[in-house]
Amino acid sequence: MDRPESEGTVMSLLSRSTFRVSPRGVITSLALTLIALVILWPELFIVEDPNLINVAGRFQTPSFEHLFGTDDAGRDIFSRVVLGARFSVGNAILVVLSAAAIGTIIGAVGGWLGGWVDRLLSKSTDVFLAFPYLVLAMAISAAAGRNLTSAVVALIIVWWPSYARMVRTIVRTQKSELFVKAARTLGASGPQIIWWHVIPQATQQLAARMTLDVGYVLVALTGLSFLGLGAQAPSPEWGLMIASAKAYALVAWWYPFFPGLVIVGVVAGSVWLGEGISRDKSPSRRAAKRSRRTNVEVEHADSKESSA
Amino acid sequence: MSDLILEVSDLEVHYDGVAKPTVEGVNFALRRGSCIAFVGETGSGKTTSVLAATRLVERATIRAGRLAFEGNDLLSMGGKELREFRRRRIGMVFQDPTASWNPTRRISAQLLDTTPKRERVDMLDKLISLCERVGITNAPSKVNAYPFELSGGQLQRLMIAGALLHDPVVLVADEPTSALDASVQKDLLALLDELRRERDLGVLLVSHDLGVVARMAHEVLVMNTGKVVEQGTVRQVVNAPTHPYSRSLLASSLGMTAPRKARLTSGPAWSAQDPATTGGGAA
Repeated sequence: MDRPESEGTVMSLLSRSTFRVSPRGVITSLALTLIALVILWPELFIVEDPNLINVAGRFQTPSFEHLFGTDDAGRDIFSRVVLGARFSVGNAILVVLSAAAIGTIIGAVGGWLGGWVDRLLSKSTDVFLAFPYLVLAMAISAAAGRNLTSAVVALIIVWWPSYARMVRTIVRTQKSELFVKAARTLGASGPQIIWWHVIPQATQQLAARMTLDVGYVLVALTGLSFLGLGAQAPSPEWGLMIASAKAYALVAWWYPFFPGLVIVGVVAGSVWLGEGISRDKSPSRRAAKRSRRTNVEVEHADSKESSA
Repeated sequence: MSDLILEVSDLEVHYDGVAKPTVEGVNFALRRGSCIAFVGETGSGKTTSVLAATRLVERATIRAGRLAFEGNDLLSMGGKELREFRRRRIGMVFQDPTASWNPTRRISAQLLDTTPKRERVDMLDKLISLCERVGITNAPSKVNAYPFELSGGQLQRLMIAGALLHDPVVLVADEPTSALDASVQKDLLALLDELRRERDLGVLLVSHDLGVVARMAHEVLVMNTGKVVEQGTVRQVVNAPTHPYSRSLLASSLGMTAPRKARLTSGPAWSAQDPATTGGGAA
């Protein structure tokens, strides 16, 4: 037995990777790369200074020069949407990452330790969950000052409890599994059990949930900006753009239409991707895939035998 | 008799949040090469007693007059010392072979995780030879398989191989065969018995099958509602049970040897709490 350990590791990594080569995988990778580029290097896509005011060229219909047309100040809407991705999608991702981090820590600590610590943490989680989240977010951001930072903080505050509850449930179920007890008899410590038996289970569900939530948080964040509680003019944040466009919706349909279309696109994409991950990652589906593969091998072996 | 491994006296286990102790007044002494069996119905505290005696119970308070493993006090052990004790001195086989493995990880990874990296290659070789010993054919590929690719009997054999990996002195078998079919049961029990003799293991066997116990054990503790109602050698308990509960249990036993003679009764004729009926002839 001189089987190199690296082989097993690479194989298991390949068979576990989120994105196998499939149509969904290819589209997903392209879309994610595009979004990352738009957020990190908007300069690559911007055709005109997004804040360049040109009163003479206001309300131009979409054309090759101005793909999404121009707004009430003659600014290029396409360039503004591109730059706005950083504010809207970038901040939505920031909210999801922070909320997931806080929620995971609180949920994991409560679920793992149990007892009064767990009771205290889950009761405080419940208090947050009891509020309608958008109302709470509006209250917090209105109280903390009307700007994008306070909107982001408000959304983190209302978003972590759902993660805490989810992670707590995962930790508790995993902890009571017989194989965790078996690992203990083999001398595993608490951190080792978390690392081997809890985190892999949690990451699968977390990945799906976080991807879905990018869309939902985006809606909430642009909603806050739309109401005037988030980004303030002249920021090209998408919700704010729609808010300033609503007065001109009848004279310049493209002004609210394109930012709205982009929001719908990103939300739909995140939901589609999130559902894909959760379906692909569910253990039963993985087992089914594997057994299908095994069956093919068996059939193959059978046909070999019968032909021999 | 050979040397003493595990001494337990006056063991009492309180689960957190439960008013009454789940187990009280358990006494036994396990020697190398011997097998002590715990019998009783579901919920009688047999598993709890065994797990508490090896410090594997969680969210519970364990009290004991004496709980010593090879002369060391188990109750004062903690942290790393306790983990090393579990890893090196105790092997454990659980009831449900499919639930005792994490379905998403390879068998070898689960068994060798706790071994330091530099020993892992040697341990893998040792695991494969142990697998061959416990009757796994084509061991190298089985060891690298995922649990769902194997049958219950194979998983349980792998569990036994894993339990023996660090050459323990005590093997705890918690109803090791109750989830398996009759022919596999028979083979596995024979295997456990062979291994006990071969390696001079002390075995703590939990079972509700008196047929199994009669074949495997030297000493029997009959438990009911958290108390030991009868304790003695297999011959005493099986041939001449004194407590009415043991008698009833014995008569109702399906076993692998004889047809069931009667249903288990727990009527008002006797009570485990009432010492007056212990040894009395109400049945």
